[in-house]
Amino acid sequence: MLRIHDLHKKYGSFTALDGLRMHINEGEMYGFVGPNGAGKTTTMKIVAGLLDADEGELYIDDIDVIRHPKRIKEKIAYMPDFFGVYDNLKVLEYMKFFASIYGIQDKKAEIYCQELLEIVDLDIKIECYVDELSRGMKQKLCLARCLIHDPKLLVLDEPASGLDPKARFEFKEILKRLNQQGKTILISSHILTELAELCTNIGIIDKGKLLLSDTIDEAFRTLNTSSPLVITVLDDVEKAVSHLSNNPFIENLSFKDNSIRINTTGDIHMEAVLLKMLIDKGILVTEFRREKHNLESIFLKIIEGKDVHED
Amino acid sequence: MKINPVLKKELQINVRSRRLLVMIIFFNTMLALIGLIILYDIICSAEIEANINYSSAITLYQLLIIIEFSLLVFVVPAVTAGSISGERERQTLDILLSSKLTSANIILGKLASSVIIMILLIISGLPVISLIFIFGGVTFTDVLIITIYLIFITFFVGVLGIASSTALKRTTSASVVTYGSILFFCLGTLVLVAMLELILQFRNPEAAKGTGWTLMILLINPVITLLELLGRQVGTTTNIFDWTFGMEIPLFLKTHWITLSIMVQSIIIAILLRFSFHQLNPLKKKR
Repeated sequence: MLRIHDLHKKYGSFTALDGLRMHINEGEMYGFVGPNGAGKTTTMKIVAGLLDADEGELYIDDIDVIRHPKRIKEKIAYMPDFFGVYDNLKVLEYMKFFASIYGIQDKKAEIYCQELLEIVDLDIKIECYVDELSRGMKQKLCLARCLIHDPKLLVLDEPASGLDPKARFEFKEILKRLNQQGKTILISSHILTELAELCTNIGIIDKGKLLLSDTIDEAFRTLNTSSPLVITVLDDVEKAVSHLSNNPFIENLSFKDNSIRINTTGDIHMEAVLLKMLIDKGILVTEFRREKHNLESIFLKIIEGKDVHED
Repeated sequence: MKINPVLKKELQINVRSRRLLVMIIFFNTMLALIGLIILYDIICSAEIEANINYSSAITLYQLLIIIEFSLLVFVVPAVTAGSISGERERQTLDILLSSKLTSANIILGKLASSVIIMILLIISGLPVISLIFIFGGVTFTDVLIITIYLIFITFFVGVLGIASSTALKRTTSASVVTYGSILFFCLGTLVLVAMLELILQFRNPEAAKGTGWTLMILLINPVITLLELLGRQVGTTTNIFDWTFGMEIPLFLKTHWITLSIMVQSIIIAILLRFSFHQLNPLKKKR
């Protein structure tokens, strides 16, 4: 659905995108994560045809966006992080304005817009003025506006920023529904835990480069193997430590009370052997697990890892 | 009929805003106030002298049109200078540009809505302008021609405002640049011609007073065109060039001044529109 090759963008001396490569398949909900200034909004604006790239290639549905920017307007919808409002315009009129841009007029537009407003639960607000809506409602309206021309790809730049928990939950549910209906969604957010629950795939960007791009499950799996192994024993922690210290796969070890944390070089097979060894030595193990990562820690780990690598 | 969506939306918003109401009231109050004062003066003179001074009636017409022109020049930038920069400030511009709308659609929609509002102002001012019909001397066709040229000026000033609004990020800066440009077109060109003539005469003091070619700069000046048009309508023997700099002016230029100036001003409008389309297009860079 979306292919990006070696995308470069500079603002003066600041490099926003440095050879970005990205690939999003049809039907994916792709979470785009990165610190401020990493290049998320720049990427999204280039995809939406709002910004020129200095170099690189970008294809949406095999259409060259750089060469044929007009042709992709039918296929994508862009939702910025801030919803600007027009004074003196009602919700239905706002929708009908955007419908008319795509040639949907009169009664047909009215019926269609009402249907879209129903999808985002705003059908009871059609007679309200847009500037009177809450922020959450405005974001929903903006999403409904994005759906007017039935785009295949939704580009949503931090759509949940500034929303209260209830509005965020509702918004998330709408996005899930849209994804189930076949929409491909590229979504950026700083609320990383929410992306974990919502997205099928994740891409981590920093300093204009994509550091990781994988399915959520695969990203967790890859990173978990490099996480410390946590072993809790019922008693006799010194005995467990002395046995573990002799194991060649163990890089370092620390313990506190009855809990031991070890970093290993081995795989899942080694883990099983290690557990068997402890049990064979008569040590009572109450907990044996890899330390779980949430999306925040994956994000920080990758960003920090890159920094260390670069240093 | 398919109406430009931006035009439709702008009109919908504008007719609901209080600004339009205030604008119509302000415009007509000013126009009526000045018109009635001059009318009162004519009637008072008639009471004393026992006859109506028809040249005063012609002055009334000319003054009303000049006041209407001044008001339009004052009001149009207020409407157009914020048209694109306002969208940028409200953060709605990206939404429009990411849609199927082209930069030309957006600019023409904005311009058309501003011009329509100004036409509304001009039409609302017609009853005051009609005061002239009490005395005669000016025909309905004259008023119609002047009205058409005032609409043209609205278009001219409107494009100036939109070009500034597209090029500059802030509405305040766009307004300042628009008013500055109007000042240049209306007064600056006169100063420029005077300066050029002085330089030319300083360099060659033996030459006759002015060659007249520098006056061609004034073709971009809408005030000169308006005054020339008014002068021809009311049949004043002294036209605008006699008091400008007392220069000799080529006969062809003098005869076809109105046509030529409207053509030159139309070219400026076309250039500014082209500039605005280009400026608003987010994908300007050719690769």
